[in-house]
Amino acid sequence: MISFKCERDYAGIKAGAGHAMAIKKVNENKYIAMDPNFGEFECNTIEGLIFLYSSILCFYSLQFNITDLELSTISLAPAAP
Amino acid sequence: MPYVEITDIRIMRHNFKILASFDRRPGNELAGKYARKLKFNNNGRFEVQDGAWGSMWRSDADSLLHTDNIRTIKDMFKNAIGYMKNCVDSDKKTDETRKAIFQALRGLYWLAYQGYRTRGGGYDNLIKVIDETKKMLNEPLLGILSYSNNQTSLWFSQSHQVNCSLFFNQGDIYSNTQEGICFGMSMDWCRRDVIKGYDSFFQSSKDKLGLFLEELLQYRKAINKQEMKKYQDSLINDPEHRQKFPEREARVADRTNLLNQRKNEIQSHDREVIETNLNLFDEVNFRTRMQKKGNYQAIAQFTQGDNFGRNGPAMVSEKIAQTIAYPDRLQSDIASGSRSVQDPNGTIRTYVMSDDQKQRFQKELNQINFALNELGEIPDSDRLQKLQRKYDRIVFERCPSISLKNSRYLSDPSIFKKIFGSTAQREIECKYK
Repeated sequence: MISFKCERDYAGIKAGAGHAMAIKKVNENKYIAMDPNFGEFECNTIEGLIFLYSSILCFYSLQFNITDLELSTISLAPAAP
Repeated sequence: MPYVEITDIRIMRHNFKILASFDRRPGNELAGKYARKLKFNNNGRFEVQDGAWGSMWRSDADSLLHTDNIRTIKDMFKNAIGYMKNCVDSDKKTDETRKAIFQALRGLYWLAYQGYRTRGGGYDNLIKVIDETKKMLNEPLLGILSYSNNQTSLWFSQSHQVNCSLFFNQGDIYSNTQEGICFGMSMDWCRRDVIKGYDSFFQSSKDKLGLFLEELLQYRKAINKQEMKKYQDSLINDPEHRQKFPEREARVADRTNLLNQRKNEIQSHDREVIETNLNLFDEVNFRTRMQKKGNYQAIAQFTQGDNFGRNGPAMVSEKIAQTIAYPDRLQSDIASGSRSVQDPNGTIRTYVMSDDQKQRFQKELNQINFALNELGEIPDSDRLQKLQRKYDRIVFERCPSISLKNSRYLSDPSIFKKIFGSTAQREIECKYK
């Protein structure tokens, strides 16, 4: 998952906000991305995925002042003993 | 200066550099007598003038807020974006020019705010121009994301194939979108993938078409049966017809055959219509299903309160468990106007809430209540526990943060590609190895 936070002051922008998106690698030739505001995307290469996310982040940067960018993972919890 | 229409891309590039040079300069270097000034020339080339010399012989007509100067800037950005949209020349310098436009707008925004925000009406006009330019810059990005107006090759020297496989947005799913819902949706999307192996919200364990067809056939059968009964009753109750019953019986049989034939025709027609419009049908089904699913995502948003900005692993279900107990406690705290917290030594201390704190906690409470209302669709009394179990099997873990160093308002995609690309690639490759 990718999440970003926008809160610090930049020329009068003070409102805090944040957004989260998801990524999945299916195999070497298929990556799936999901943005809650745009839907689901398929890319054939990781460069394509990065291009997509660069465009998405640029889109949001026209509205918000992005200050923190984070990646996190969701995985299966270890089985209970 | 009088209005100048700048159409030469070389002059535009020069001017963009000048505007970009104002970005992040301290306020005292942008406003006041000794500050750096932007100078407009008759030939359309911008200049900067530093110190007291720049302020001498400067009239209102030289101000950034003068109507003609605002118009010059507005049209320059408009022409530059038009150039990007239409030009296919080899010396277009696509990435360089695009980046220059973004950086110039960023510099202009900074200059306007730090140097001119207290100067009255003209400032609003300048901000309006900046907002309009932002909208124009949004278009090509939306083109990539929605695939409706894809002009990727005109905006990026190296474009990649990106396919929007399913379009939706938060508004389709929640009538009242709340902060953090994007986190809930992303979490749910990942949960479905990790636990069920679904890589799209579109996938469902239910045989949607089968269920729908079955329902439709039952409806048609009921209609046909009703029609048959009506026809038979009219024949039996009529004395004249009763005499000719054997003959009529044969005709009823014929009519039944005809109806059965018609029934089959209707069924095959329905199937054909559905199959032809399968995408549309699936789309409608998807939206309906997603609205019902909203409840799970709504609650997941509360995991973000603790997760955002903190390191270390966090069990999503633990966060939900905390949320279960939270609203009642929060409500009583707001009502009493005081709050008890445990300090690092383990001592419980009570403090009186300020108005701001009350407002913040009330907002938080409203969000939780919103999610609980969404959950109202689930019939079980222990619906939160049921929801908690759904997230029991997944773990949320934070990777090292990506350092942005500076704020990233109005940043060009290449900036994000640079700072985000290598880290993201490494993490994704490493995680899925």
